[in-house]
Order: sequence, then C-alpha cells, then structure tokens
Amino acid sequence: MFLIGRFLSSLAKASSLIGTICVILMMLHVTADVIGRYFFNAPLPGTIVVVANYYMIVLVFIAIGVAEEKQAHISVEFVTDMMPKRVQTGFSVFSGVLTVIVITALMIAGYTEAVKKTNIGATMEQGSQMIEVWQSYWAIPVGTGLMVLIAAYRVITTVTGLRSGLNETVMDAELINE
Amino acid sequence: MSDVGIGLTGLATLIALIAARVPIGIALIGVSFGGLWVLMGPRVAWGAMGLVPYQFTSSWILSSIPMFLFLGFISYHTQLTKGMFNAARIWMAGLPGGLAIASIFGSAGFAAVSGSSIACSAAMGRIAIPEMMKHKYHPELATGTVAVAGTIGALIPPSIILILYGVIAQISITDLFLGGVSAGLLTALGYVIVVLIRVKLNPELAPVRDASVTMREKIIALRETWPLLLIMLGIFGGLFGGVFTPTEAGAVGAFLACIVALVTGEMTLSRFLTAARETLMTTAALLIIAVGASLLTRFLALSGAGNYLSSGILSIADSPVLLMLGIVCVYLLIGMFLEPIGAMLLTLPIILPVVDASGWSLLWFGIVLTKLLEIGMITPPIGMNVFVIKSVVGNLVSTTAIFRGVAWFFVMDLVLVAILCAFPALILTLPEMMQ
Amino acid sequence: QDLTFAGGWPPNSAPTKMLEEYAKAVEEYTNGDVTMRVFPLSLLSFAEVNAGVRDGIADAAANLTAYFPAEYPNLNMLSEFSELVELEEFAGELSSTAFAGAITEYVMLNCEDCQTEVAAQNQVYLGAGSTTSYVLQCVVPLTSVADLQGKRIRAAGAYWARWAETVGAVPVSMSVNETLEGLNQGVVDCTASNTADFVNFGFIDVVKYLYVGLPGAQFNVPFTMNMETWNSLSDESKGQVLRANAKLMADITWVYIEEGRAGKERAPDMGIEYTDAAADMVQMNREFISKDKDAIASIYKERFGLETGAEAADALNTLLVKWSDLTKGVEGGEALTKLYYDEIFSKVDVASYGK
Ligand code: NA
Ligand code: NA
Repeated sequence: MFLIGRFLSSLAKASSLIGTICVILMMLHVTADVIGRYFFNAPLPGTIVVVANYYMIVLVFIAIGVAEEKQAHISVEFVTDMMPKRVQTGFSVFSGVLTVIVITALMIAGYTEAVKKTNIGATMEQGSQMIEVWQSYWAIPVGTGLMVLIAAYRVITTVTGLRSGLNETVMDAELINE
Repeated sequence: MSDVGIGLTGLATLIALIAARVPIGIALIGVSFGGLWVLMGPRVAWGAMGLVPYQFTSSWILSSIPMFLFLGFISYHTQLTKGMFNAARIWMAGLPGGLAIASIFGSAGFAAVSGSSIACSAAMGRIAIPEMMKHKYHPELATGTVAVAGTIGALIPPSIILILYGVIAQISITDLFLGGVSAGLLTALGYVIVVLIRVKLNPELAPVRDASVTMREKIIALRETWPLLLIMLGIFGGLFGGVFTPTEAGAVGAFLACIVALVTGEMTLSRFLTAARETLMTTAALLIIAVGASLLTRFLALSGAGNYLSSGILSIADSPVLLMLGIVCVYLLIGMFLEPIGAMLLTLPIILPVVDASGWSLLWFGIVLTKLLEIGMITPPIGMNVFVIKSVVGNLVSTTAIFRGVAWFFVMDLVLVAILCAFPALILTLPEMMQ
Repeated sequence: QDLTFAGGWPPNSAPTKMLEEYAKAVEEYTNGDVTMRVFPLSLLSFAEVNAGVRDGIADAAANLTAYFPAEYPNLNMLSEFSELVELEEFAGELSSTAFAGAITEYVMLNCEDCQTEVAAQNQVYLGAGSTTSYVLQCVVPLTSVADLQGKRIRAAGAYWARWAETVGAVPVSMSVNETLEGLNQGVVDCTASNTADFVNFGFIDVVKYLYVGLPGAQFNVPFTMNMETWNSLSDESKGQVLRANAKLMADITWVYIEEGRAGKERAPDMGIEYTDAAADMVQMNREFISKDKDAIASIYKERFGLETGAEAADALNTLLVKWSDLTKGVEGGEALTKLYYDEIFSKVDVASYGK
C-alpha cells in the first residue's frame, strides 16, 4: 500500500513539473508577444489561442491532482472542527468518497469530449492561422484521473489506518495558497 | 417537485456539503451535476460536465490570474518587498505605533504587485511581525494590523477578485482597477487612524521607540524601495502607455520582477521554481471552484431558482438603502464562512441582476463588493488572513487573540463601506478622469 | 412544449430584446403549443453554444459557427464570401439584409453538404442573420493606401487578418472585450469591426476616425436547433417555428443596421470623422476581394478538402444579385421578415427538413 502511495506521489511530482513549466512558458510567451508587437510590429501569431487552450488547460487540470495530494483544495473546517475526532474522520472519509465520485464523473465527461474533439480534429482560428486544439482536451481526463487515484488512495489509508506514502508535507508557502 | 424547488434543494445541499468539509469546488460540481440530472436528465448533465470545465478554463482573460499570482510570489521570495517595509518603518519611526503604520503602508505598496490579499498578509506578516514583537508591541495589535492590512491587496490593483468580477459583469478591468485605487488608499488611511486611536488610548500597546532617525537614514531607506517601485512603474506605465493590455500586464510584470530580482542578486533557481509551483497550486485551487460556480450558474438558471431568489430580494428591499443594507448583511454573513472568490462566484449570478435592475453603477458595486468580500477574510470563524498570520506566528499568539486584534479594524471597515456607499464619487472619479 | 434559447449577447442588449420578441412570436404562432425561454449569457456563452445545443443544454441558440472551424467548414466558407457585398454592384447600407437572405436560401434550399455538417452536430439549421459590414475604426487618421503600412489592426477573424496582412498592416488578435481598452491606450491603432459594435462595445467613446468601405465582409449569425427537439415538434409546429425564425433573422440583421445608424448619427457630435474611405483605398479593397474570392476556395480546399468553393461563390453571387434587388430600400424588420419567409422558409418541406 505504501508503495502505491509513493508511486502516486511521483506521478504528482511529474505533473507538478509539467504545470510549473506551463507557468513559466506562459510568462515568456505573453511577454515575447508584447515585445514583438510593440517594438517590432510583429506579434507572435497564435498567442491567445495557445495561452487559453494549452497553458491554462494544462496548468489547471494537471495541477488539481497535485493540489489533492497536498490537500490544497479549499474547504471549510469550522463546523467539523467542533466535533470529536472520530466524527471528523467520518467526515473526511465522506468528503473523500464524494471527491472520488464527482471527479470520476468529470473524468468520464472530459474523456468523452476529448474523443469527440480528437475525431473531428478540433481547431481554433487566430488571425489567418488555424491552430489545432484537440490535444489539449486530453489534459482533463489525465489530470482528473490522477486526482481520482490520489483521493481514493487517501480514503483507503484513512479507513484502514495504513501508512500513507503520499507526500502531504505542506510546503512552507502553502499557507499562501490558502 | 417544481423546478425552482429542485434549485433551492440543490442550494441547501450545497451548504450542507460545504459545512461537512467537502472541498468547495467538489461540492459545487457535484451539486450542479446532480441537479442538472434531476432537472434535465442525464444527457444534459453529462453535456455540461464535458463542456463547462474546458470552456471556462480556456480563457485568455483569466490567464492573468496565474500571472499576477506569479508576480506576487516572485516579488515575495526574492525579497523585493522588504525594502518597502523598511522605508515605511524608518519614515514612521516618530509616530505612535509607527511600526504598525509602516506595516499598513508596506502592505499597500506590496498590494500594487500582488493580486490577492492572502499573499499580501503572508508576505508582510513574515517581515513586519517579528519586527513589532522585537519592539514589544502588543501581540494583538501587531498581528491584527498585518492581518487586516492584507485586505488592501485585493483593492489596490492588480486584483484577482476585480479581474473575475470584470469578466462576469462585462465591464472594463482597467476602470475597475482605477476604482480600486482610491478604495484601497482610503482603507489604508482608515487603518492608520485605528492604530493612532488605539495607541493614543493605550500607549502601552506600542512603546515609543528611539525616534532619532536622521534625514540621511530616511533617504537611504527610500533608495531600497526602487525594485518594487520599478516594477509598479513598469506595469502602470506599460498599461497606460499602450504597450500591453491588463490581461498581459501580469505576465510582463512577472517577467520584469524576474529581471529586477536578477539585478538585485536575490534570484535563485530554487526561489524561481518555488514561486512557479505555488502559482500552479493556487491557480488550480481557485479555478476548480470557479469552474464549479460556473456550472452552478447554469443549474440555477435552468431551475429558475436564481430568478426566484433575486426577485425575492428585490421585493423585500423596497428602497435602495434597504437593498444595500440587505446586500451588506448577506455578504458579511457569507464572508464569515466562505473565501471571497468562491463567495463572489457563488452569489454574483443572483446579485448582479438585482444590482443591474436597480440602476446602480456596476463599477462602483464591484469595488464595494470587493471591500465586503475582503471583510470576510478577517471575520471569524473562517478568516483566511487571520489563519495566515497565525501560521506565521505559530504558538506565540492564539487565533482568538488575532481575531480580537482585528475587531477594532472591523469597525473601521464598516465605516469605510458606509462612506463608499454614501459617496460613490470616491470610487468613480478616477476612472472617469482617465477616460 | 417548453424550449430554451441560449443567447450569447449580454442581457438588456438590443439583440437580446429581439430574442425575446422571437420567443413571443413562437408562442403566438403556435397558439401556445411551443413556448420559448430566453437565457441571455447565463446559460451558454458563444464559445459553448455548439456543444451546448448538440447535447441539449439549450434547445436552440445563435450558433456562431466561425468559432468552430473544424465542425463547420462549409458554413464558414460561405460566410467568408460575405466579402462580395463590398463589390460595387452590391455595396450599400442594406447589403447585410441581402447577404443574410442569400446565404440562408443557399444553405436551406441548395446546400446538401451544409445540411450534413449541421446534422453531424446533432442540430438543424434555421436561417442566419448578419451583422453590418466591417469598417475600420481608428484612433489615427488613414487617408491613403500608404497609411495602412504597419498599422496595428485588431482582426476578429480569418478574413480580416488575411486582409490586414495583404495590405501591409499588422493583424492583432484580441478578445472583443479587451478591444476598447486596447484602442484607448493605443495597443492597437484600429479595429476592424461592424458599425453596430462601434456603439455596443463602446468604441465610439475612444475612436476618432471611422472609414466605411474597407475591409468589408460581415459576421454571420446562424440559428440552430437541437435535432431531437426539432423532430419532437409536430409538422404544424415546425412550420410555425420556421415563420418565427424568418422574423428572428430579419430582426437580428435589422437591429445591427439600426445600431449602426445610431452610431453614425452620434459620431459627429463626438468629434469623430465618420466617412467613406479614400477612393484609392476602396479601389484597392475591391481588387483584393476579387482575388481573395479564389483564395477562399483554395484555402478551404487545402484545409478541409472542400471542392465546392468556386461553385458556391458563383451561386452566392447569383443569389446576391437577386437579394440585392429584393431588399432594395427595405424599410424594417417586418418587410424583411416577409421577404425571408416568402422566398425561403415557406419553401422548406417541414416533413423532411432536418430529419
Ligand atoms: Na493588488
Ligand atoms: Na470570515
């Protein structure tokens, strides 16, 4: 069980790396577009489509699994905090199970949509160019898939009391993350 | 059950789930999915789940959110913010409660590069609180001031709340930003007055320190503020000089911050990556809630519950004053429990039509709304800014003590809201001037 | 039967009011058998409309097919031919009424491929409105062809980007919500937008010059209905919905003209130079269009394998001759509705259409 946790944790780490790269690329790409447009009258073609359909989609949906591992998803604790420990555990199992169900639904819907977009070869128009965007639809089933696995694993370790292999250590800055 | 009944049941379920510690985003998505299923059948429910998350997220305008977050995180981790506080500290040295006042001005300065109030409190908390403790400031005053000063971060542009509001209400983000400037400065001023009054009433709260600061020291301290000033200048100069749009400002600002940090020698690869990673996590946590709220909007629209509630509010509040009082009370109540962005996304579908119908300026309302939402950041039981400060001070100060320290400022916040409502020109003048 | 209609225009805007008129008409014509609830923006945004109507989140909508290049190559190619209305024989303030008629007639009565591609999205095509022609709205003066060199022009779609590149300007992509600020702060020098958006998006508050006659072309506003919804209606109701849709496409097309007129009226008081573009620019534009017509056909052939480009251009040209004649001097939505119904919608076989 512990090893499964370590494995999921390494998947989360890889996702985190991909997302981090997206953040950095987004900054560089937009800046380059602005510089090109203002100083050289040569904007980078396709910036808007690439930023919206690739960087945004990948960074959000790849990172929701990572946020699940770090327990960074925002919830409201004050009601449950007033209850005894055992009841609190009950609530966190309930919330974990619900997370698994809801995100599984999101994953299935995202997968269905990705298949449709792949079959039609979805594109977007920017300027006189066409940019393929169907690939980006796959970030949703992939990212939500990771989130489902991590949430399910946490429910199991909570119920069985087995040692978790997830890396839940809150980074120093996570408090900034709410 | 009628359609409206289904909608209201959905809302009740939502509140119950959130209270049961289900992550807000999950609760929103789950209730919307289930609600659409009951209301319109499985096909529509699945369709909305496939459609909305992608379409909502793949937004060019929303891309400014991670970029402004990145800008703030870079500035904090490379200590670009430190000089600002130091300068304020030295200039305020002679005033009673000088350090507390300095932390307010420091926050207002950091607010100009940070998009959220939490980042603002966290950054200033780590810089200013140890300093105040060292000078024997009362812990309640020290922590309360920084917790509350962080809320300026969402008023003074850039501001993530204002960007989201602009997108949803379809009004100019530049205008919103300009409107936020005066509200933010007014708030800072109000907080300074609170500090002055408190220290006047009880001088022991903030022992007077040696006030013999020379002009020379003051000038030297000012010099250290250049990194942050340069970034601010770059952002606002570029915005008004036609170099880039508000959406692009975050990315360019973050890039500028990297350059400045390289020049000051504080930029390291690990700090850069930490900032990017924090940006990633925060963006995901925020946007999953936004996606959920967007789904809920469709559910509320189709069920008719949104209309039902908003016309209910309109019919009870038969005068503008009553209506505004009602809105203030609703947001103070919601703000006790919810974080501001979730609260805003949750309520705007219901509140905006009401505001629109009563003929108020959407720009003015956006600023007042931000102010109200930010009050929620400091009210118990869920006060995010207070929790941030708590994590900075550890076991030194209890959460309850910080909430007590905040209470004084809360009263001032209510006064500020009343002022902004009574004199909309305070907000609207600057955007009109810049037209 | 209670249907939902998703509008992508903001609440209280003029097009949204037309949608509400349409909903009333549907109810009235069908004697209350079919009712329609309109959701302005709260249900689906324009970017979400196609999948939304496909899956039945809304029953009907204004489906801006230009947002979905891969899904609607035929319809999009046809609407790019709206550039033809800038040619001397078709140009004029009412040209959008003629183009809306021409494209709707072609798609509903003559274009098998179009019907197939709409059906593949689980939808039925029910006519298309059209915006007014696109004109240059600038913060700097443009007095001759040479002035276009290096000007940053916001381009809303492929046609306008291609045009800007050809004339030596720099096409800038920008969301329409940012364009006002972009013009105000000088991020762009001009926007190529229709004369109604001049008012609707507030460009009138910041631009100093508006040049009619180029780059031209119009944005097409097709209306579609979910296929199952359509086929759940009785033939009788289908016929009445078609009547209402003739009114809808007339009203939307006309409301753009009216808003364009309002902008033209207000412009002089706001110190805006609202004029025809210089003769050499208009001439250059017409030369561009006569070449671009063939370019469109070859672009769609290369990208989507469409072989029908040249044939469609000819057909639309012929239909434009007819419709320019029919709509000459038309004085309002009601007269247009009658034209569209008599010439197009009444000729649709409700028993087989969209099955
Ligand atoms: Na800020
Ligand atoms: Na609170």
